[in-house]
Amino acid sequence: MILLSPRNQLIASLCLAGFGLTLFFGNSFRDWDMPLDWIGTFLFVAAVWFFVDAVHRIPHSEAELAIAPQEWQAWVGLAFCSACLVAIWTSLPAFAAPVSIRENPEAGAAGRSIGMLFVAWAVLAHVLNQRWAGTVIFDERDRAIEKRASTWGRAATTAAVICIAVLLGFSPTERLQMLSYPWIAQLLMSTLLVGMWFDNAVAALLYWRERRQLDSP
Amino acid sequence: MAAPLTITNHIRRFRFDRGEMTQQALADACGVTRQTIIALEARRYAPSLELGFRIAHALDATLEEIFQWQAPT
Repeated sequence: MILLSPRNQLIASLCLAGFGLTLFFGNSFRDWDMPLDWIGTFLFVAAVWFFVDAVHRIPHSEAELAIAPQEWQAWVGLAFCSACLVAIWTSLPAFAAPVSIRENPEAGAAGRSIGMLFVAWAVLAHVLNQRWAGTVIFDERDRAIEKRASTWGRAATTAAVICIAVLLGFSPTERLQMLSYPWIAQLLMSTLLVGMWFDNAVAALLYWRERRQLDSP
Repeated sequence: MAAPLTITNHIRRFRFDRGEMTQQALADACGVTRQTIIALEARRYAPSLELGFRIAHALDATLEEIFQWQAPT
């Protein structure tokens, strides 16, 4: 893969990462008698390795330089928060069984998928920071934007917690007995993610709006 | 639409007077991102006092030469 041009290597490693994640997440392959989740993880890690190499070799384009490093991070964070929220909400039925996650293979697989998304996010954020190694990636303007975004993130977390409190507080007892602890744990996780989603979304929006104003005459 | 800033500056002029210093070079000298210099030059961002001094120092000028404050009318 090293023999490819950086741009082609980037595309190839993204395809490899996608294939690795498909093997990891793909429930339809679970019947195969192979450790596909481990093979998927290995492919994903290998793809990230080649991705980092390609990222280092590609020169910065003018379009890329127009966007602040923290804006890139905000957009990436927004994408991963959205993916994690979708993964949590779509997998909620798997956590409904009143047994611990260890005794529930379906919930375990869903939990691993969500965990993998967090790992992928951390890896990509690190790769992006490496891309700007040696230059300033965070300054007082970023801090001001982060402060405004955090206010929204905190407000969203508070609102989500109040929603859960009201939901649990006003639900009939017989309905509450149907909710398992893993299900409530997932609900709490999604509360945190809602806060992070707003944090990243507002930051990305503020950067984008400012950039648009700078571009306009 | 954001309210216009009361602090104006001559960063761009001073950059060109100092041997056409690039935005990136000034950003590196001041410890900020290039996007912050772009926002400053477009008068879309009011810097902190410390950053103001850093910019003035990097451009070999005084704070008053680079930045002006206009009282809001």
